[in-house]
Amino acid sequence: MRIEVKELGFVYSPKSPFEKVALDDITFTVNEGDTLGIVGSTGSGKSTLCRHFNALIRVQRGEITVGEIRLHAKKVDLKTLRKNVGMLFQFPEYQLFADTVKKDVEFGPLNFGFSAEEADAAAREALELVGLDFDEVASKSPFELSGGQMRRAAIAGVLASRPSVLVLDEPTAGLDPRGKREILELVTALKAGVTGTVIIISHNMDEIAEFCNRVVVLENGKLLADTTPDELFNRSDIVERTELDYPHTVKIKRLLAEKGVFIDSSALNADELSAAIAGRFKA
Amino acid sequence: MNEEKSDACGKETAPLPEKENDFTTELPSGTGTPSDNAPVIKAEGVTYSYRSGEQVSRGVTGVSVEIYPGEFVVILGRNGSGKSTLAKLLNGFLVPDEGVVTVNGTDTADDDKIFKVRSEVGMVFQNPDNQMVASVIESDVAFGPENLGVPREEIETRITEALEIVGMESYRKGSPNRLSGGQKQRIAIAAILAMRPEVIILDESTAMLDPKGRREIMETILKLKNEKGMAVVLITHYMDEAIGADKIYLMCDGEAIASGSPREVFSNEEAVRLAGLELPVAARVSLNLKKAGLDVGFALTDEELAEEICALK
Amino acid sequence: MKDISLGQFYPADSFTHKMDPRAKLVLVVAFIVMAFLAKNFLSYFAVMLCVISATLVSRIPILKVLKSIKAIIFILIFTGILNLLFYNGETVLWSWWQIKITVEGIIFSLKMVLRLVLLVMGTTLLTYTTTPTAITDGMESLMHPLKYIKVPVHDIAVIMSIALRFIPIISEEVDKIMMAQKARGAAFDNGGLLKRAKALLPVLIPLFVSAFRRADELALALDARCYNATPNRTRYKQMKFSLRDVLGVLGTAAFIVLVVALNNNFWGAYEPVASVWWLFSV
Repeated sequence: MRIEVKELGFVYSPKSPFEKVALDDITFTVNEGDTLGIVGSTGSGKSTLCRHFNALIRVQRGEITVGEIRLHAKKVDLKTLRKNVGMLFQFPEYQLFADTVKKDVEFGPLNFGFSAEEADAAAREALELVGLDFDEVASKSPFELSGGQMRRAAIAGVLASRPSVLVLDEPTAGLDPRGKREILELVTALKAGVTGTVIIISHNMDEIAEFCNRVVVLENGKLLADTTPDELFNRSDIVERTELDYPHTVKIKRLLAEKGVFIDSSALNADELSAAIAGRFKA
Repeated sequence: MNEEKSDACGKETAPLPEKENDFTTELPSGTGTPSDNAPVIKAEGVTYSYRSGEQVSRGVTGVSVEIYPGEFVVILGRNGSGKSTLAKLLNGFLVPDEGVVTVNGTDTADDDKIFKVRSEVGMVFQNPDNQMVASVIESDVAFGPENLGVPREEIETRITEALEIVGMESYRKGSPNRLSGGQKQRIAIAAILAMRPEVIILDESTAMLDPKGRREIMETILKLKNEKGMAVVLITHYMDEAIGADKIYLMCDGEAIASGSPREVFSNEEAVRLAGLELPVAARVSLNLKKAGLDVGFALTDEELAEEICALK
Repeated sequence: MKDISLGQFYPADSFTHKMDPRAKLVLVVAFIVMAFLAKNFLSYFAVMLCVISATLVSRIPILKVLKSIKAIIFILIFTGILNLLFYNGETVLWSWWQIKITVEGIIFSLKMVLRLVLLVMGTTLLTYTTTPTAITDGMESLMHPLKYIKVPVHDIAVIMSIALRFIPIISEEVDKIMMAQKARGAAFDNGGLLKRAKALLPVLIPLFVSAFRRADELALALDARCYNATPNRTRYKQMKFSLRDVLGVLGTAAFIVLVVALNNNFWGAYEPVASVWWLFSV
């Protein structure tokens, strides 16, 4: 599904002493099949922007079109929209509520009008997808799971509705390295075809570099750049101005370049970079 | 929460190869332990298990830790490795089943002196929102000293001092509600500092923060160590936060499977793998290059790695 | 939703804002008593004068204070109509079945409405000029004597302080959980009462789970900060009664005297101006 954002603006508590401009004149397009990273410091408007995509926040100014649905119209078919745009909040394990994992995962599908059998099948599929054994966890209470498992169960709860666009807000925040790996492997699997379009909000530039084909940068509610990760990390003005980090691989390449050693590779993880460096020095 | 039983490290109880790396010998290790002083905190052969009804789950087993004045110590491990249990044993929140923990010579099992222990070993937690008791920052910072019966005039100076170290003096009269996570956590640190502890333990205090917040906390830690000569114990699963430590304890399944300077611990590939952690990119690349037959020393930071690689030319 | 954190506090640099919260609390109680004492329109007028002068001194736009009445508009209409229709008066203007409208009824319902309006304006002024924290501090201090009859005044104060601190946090959390469940297709605003109550479960359960988790960590944090370490706890924040507070108390005392005097018709001072007298004496 294609998402078109046109001149979007949003103000919190307008006309009060607490008025705050959250988004200002944002225009960009997310194409079908994109894995889009949204980056910027805390408070730059990333979450506000994403909450527009499934009308959790209604359009104040400007236009958004998701597939065929015009979100700036007076009446929006929320059910269809929210079924198609799945949204994973930060620390999603905090929204688990049902007495069994299965019921929790089926909550979305049943709300969106799946039949009992369809919901059951969707829950199985989603739990498999996130790497949880259906038979083992289905009848467990979600609160008995470990931290990483809870996170994955919560993700399954979003995937079960089979959205065509998936928005992930800081999906790895607070997880330990293994938990992180598991989530990132899942994102890779999703990219490989389960979900058409993935949007990731993240502070972790290593993740953005590794997973996204496009990235938009927000600063104080304004769109600062709409580009590819590779190009973004070449724009030191933007990276430094918005207090983003460089991915470590990029930082190492930059440090080497300063010393006159140029590594001509778009390597974005440690192993690729090692191979590139080894290749250069062995030759 | 998050007490996850891991199979990865639990089953492999074979003794670990000790320092089989060849890097550490040729490189200076850490900044050196001030071993001439007495440790502030000393834990010897500490074991603790959680009991709920019939169920017993192991927290930590036979761990010994020494924290010296002015040291920055990192306790590293993934969720469920026992790192938080260990932290809570160090200030008397938990009392060991076996072994002894002393703070300046006082046994933490001594109920009558527990407040002495807690005022000497301060602790900051994971979620900054859950540790503030007042809606005005200075009142929140005053809470600890008030509880200790510190005279009013002195509380005043302590607040100023504590907020200055963490760089939040200008927010003194404000509300914590609109601060960033890193700022809130700095207030939480100031609230502990106002009690003038000798050691401050940060129990996963960086886990919920964004990179900027984490940087702020790491800068604060170094300031406390360098300017105040305080001992800081950081509990974390981010290996990159341990790079600047004087000493690391690497926890896995309730045991300290390795300890020493960052260089010693990080280059112990086997232990890092068992602990389920991820080496910083620079360290990984340097190890890869060495395996590929290049003459590259073990690098902890991106800068070190760049130096090493340039030396190849 | 985030703005709840500020309560109704309206920041300004004024006489009233700077007053000791204890003085303000006492004054508001005195004011409430005054509003209930007032008998005739003349004394109501005095009470109103009291609110208006206090508002002027506090530098809060009078419209802002009047706006607070909006919240109770339905109660006002309800009270007004009920009293108007069912007051047992003698000078009947219009009647139908059990219902009759009398002159006394009109006067009585007007007074009731006026009293409510004045009460709301007075208490609003307190919350506009005093932060919730200051109100808590003031209450703790005023309750201090209760310590001697074994009331845990300090613990109550800490509980109030923590409650204030957590209201914005929890309300933000409710917001977030509701959004997350809406994203999964939950609807909170349709269906009957039972259906709506059931729809709230996916919000309430995570909220409770999180509240317990927070309480756990908070308990540790209180221990880490040596809560209850010594009975000789000190207080950092000291409240000082100043000339300002004395002036406030004197002013209010003057108004109370005025209200009592007007209630009693100034002991006959207004008799000569017969028509004015009627208007105010009813």
